[in-house]
Amino acid sequence: MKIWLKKAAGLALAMMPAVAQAEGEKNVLAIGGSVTEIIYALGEGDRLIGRDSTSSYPPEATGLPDVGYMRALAPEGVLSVGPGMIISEDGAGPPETIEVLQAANIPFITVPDGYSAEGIVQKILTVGEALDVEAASIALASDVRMKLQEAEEAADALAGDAPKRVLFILSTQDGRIMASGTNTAASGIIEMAGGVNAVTAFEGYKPMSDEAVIAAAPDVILMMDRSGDHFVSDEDLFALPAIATTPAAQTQSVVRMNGLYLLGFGPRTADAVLDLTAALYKG
Amino acid sequence: MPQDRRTVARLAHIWLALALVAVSVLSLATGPTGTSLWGALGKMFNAEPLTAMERVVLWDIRLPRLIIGILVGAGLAVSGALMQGLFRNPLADPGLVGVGAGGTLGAILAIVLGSALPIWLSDIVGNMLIPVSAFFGSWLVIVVLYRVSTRHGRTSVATMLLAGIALAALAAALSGIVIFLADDQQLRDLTFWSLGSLAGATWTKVVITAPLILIAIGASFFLGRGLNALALGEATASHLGIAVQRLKLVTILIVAMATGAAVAVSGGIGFIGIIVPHLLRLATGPDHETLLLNVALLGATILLAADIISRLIIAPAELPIGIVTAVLGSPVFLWILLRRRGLVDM
Amino acid sequence: MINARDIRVTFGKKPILYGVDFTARPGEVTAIVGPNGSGKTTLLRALTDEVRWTGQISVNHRDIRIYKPWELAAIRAVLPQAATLAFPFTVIEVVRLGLMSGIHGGKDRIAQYALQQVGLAGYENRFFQELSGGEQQRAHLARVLCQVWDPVIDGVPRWLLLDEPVASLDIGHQLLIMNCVQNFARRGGGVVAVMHDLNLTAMVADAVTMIARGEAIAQGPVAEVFTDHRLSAAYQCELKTNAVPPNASAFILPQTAALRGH
Repeated sequence: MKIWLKKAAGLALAMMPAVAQAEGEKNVLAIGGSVTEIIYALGEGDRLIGRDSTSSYPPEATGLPDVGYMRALAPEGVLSVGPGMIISEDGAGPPETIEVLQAANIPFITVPDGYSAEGIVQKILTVGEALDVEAASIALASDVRMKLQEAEEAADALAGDAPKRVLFILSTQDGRIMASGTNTAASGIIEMAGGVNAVTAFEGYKPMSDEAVIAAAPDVILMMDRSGDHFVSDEDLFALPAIATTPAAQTQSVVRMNGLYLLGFGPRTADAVLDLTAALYKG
Repeated sequence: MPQDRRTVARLAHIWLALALVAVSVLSLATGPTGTSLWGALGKMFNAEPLTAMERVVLWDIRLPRLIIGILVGAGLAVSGALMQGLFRNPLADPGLVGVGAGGTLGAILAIVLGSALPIWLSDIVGNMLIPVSAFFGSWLVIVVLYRVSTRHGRTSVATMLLAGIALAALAAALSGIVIFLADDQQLRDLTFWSLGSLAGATWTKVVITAPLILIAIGASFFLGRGLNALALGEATASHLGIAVQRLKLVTILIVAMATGAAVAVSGGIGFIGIIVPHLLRLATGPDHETLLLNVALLGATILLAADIISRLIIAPAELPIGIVTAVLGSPVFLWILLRRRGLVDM
Repeated sequence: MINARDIRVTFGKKPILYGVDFTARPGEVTAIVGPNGSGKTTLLRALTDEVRWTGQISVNHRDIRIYKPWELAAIRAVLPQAATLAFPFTVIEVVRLGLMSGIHGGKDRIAQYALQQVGLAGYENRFFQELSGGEQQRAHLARVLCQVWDPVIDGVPRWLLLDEPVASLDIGHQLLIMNCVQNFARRGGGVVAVMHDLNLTAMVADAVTMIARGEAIAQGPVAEVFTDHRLSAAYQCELKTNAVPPNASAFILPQTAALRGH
């Protein structure tokens, strides 16, 4: 009861009939890990009143109310955190929820995906515009652009003529290898780090047959470092028949990195590129 | 020794109706935003304008959700009772005629292949692609099932049971093939769909499903006598003057309409079709003439209660309602089975 | 009047009835007897339209194929040899089912009288599935009696078609039930009963049809049909009518029994 009263009160204060954005108001809902990171990087983290389940960085973000998985948002749940504005990565849903939010006259700004340096810059600028802090966003964007350029050049240098073939595996549950084809965040970061996506036959994250994995002949396996049920130990990984005969298995080359850090395509990506390059070529 | 159960069953109409009204009001009055129903009613009474928030929450979110919850809960429960009457078995459930499997296949096709639709078509269909596809999937399975089990104008219930299992397996296999074409995002969408949810309730869905489910449930009230007679076997029912083949056909159609529509708009919600009729048979007897109305009322009430839980328990996120009904339903189901061990030998 | 001409029934490739003629008159108990596998139950099932048959059947001078299901249910009630029950109904609820197609609607009184007639007074609220086999059979008979409670309406006789109505009953209940059935016939209704027990048949039946190997080998009053020769041929063993056994320790015949208190 108390929570509801608090929220109702907060709501009454925050939601005056004409929904005008006063500057610096604490009423932004961030959806998507990279969006949240960008907002904090712009120094506007105080304006957040909620986030989604993928927003795990920085640690302060996890203290905010979690509206759940971004493709399965509940309309009243979203409204209950009292958003005056929603900034979201591409792909939020379901469509019915988005429609209700629009009917409630809440500005919904979609930040386009982009698995490249330019993509990240665009994200930062879009978020900056939404939050009305364009000066800060331009500064952050150029800083990020510079770091990314340096990282990519370093990566190219290390790769030289023999870039490593990298296979990104999303999961091996049920014995099915879900891997990344082209046009994904994983593919993007691999290219930026001086590697080559071992898979070019399809787009998106799809299950691959064992023979296709063998034919891809990756030098390195790249995975997210998940704990709990999704965790696959090196031993189990290389024991899989599809993987056992790959060059990666022969050199026992597997790289694990935090999912949001590696694939988020946000302010930390330059560092992620450097880390990945190091892991690929010096590890 | 039970007293005459008819009176108890008829009194139950009143109690259950009151319960449904109470839960409905509770459903409208609660939600993570804390929007107050009473406040809004007060304003309307005084001809004051509502805030945008009140309007959206009460009219666009909670009210359609309430209506869909009632329709789906009643529809699934009545379908369960009808299936049990048709198969003369208290464990039968709409899934036996492959409705669920067909609906899932339709949903999967929509989720995975939906992006391949030409723009003009997807503009027309809009958000309704998945529900429409799921509905047609259910119907396709039921039509095939009916054809396979009916010969010389007579539907064999035993054949339906076996064929239903086979068709459900076939639908699942086809779904598996399509899943292989799916990418990670689509798989997640499918998972959430399968777990069931009332969160996508819109007035469009209300307008489309309400006639289907209401007609189905209304028609079922005329089947009470026939289903009672059928409990003694098809031959005896026929000797009692029941047109047995017509009864079977109408029952199957009603289940197809009600369950097909319910699955289409709310995904896979389990247990309501088995638990609710069972509980009522235990409480007020198996007489279908009073059972079906009570089943509809209780099914709606329970689903609304589950929905309230799903909306509040991990607010501001939502727990898929299929999980709530499973968590609450399985222990109840086990309890029923244990309690009945001595009573009836199935 | 129930009239059947040239009834043939085949299950798959196997012929069961080879062109049987059968007649039953209202006001009479007509028994159908014969050895196991003779086709007597199949004949009844043809009359009740439960198996596919060829030939002609008419009930009350109207071809059976013309009747709608509810019209037929209003004038004839069928007692099966065995029945299942899928749900935990009480005895009174099962008996009340007989009233759904008759003209009496939901008159509970009739259901209770019917239970009294079959010796199950007081059993109303017990669970049907808890009854013994014999009690369940009697409850079904009560249901069937409810369906055609008045043996004659507007001069039109109504019918009871019974498949081995006393098969699982003890002798006392057998007498009770046969009495009840005979009563129905005396009041103008028609009864057709497939019977196992030749003594009870002899006691109660006004006419009897004997079926053997798919053919009706005799039809008529009991004394005419039950001859030593015919019975022995039909049942494939030496049978003697009206003969006292030479070295018997005891023999108990229903014909010499009397019901107490009814």
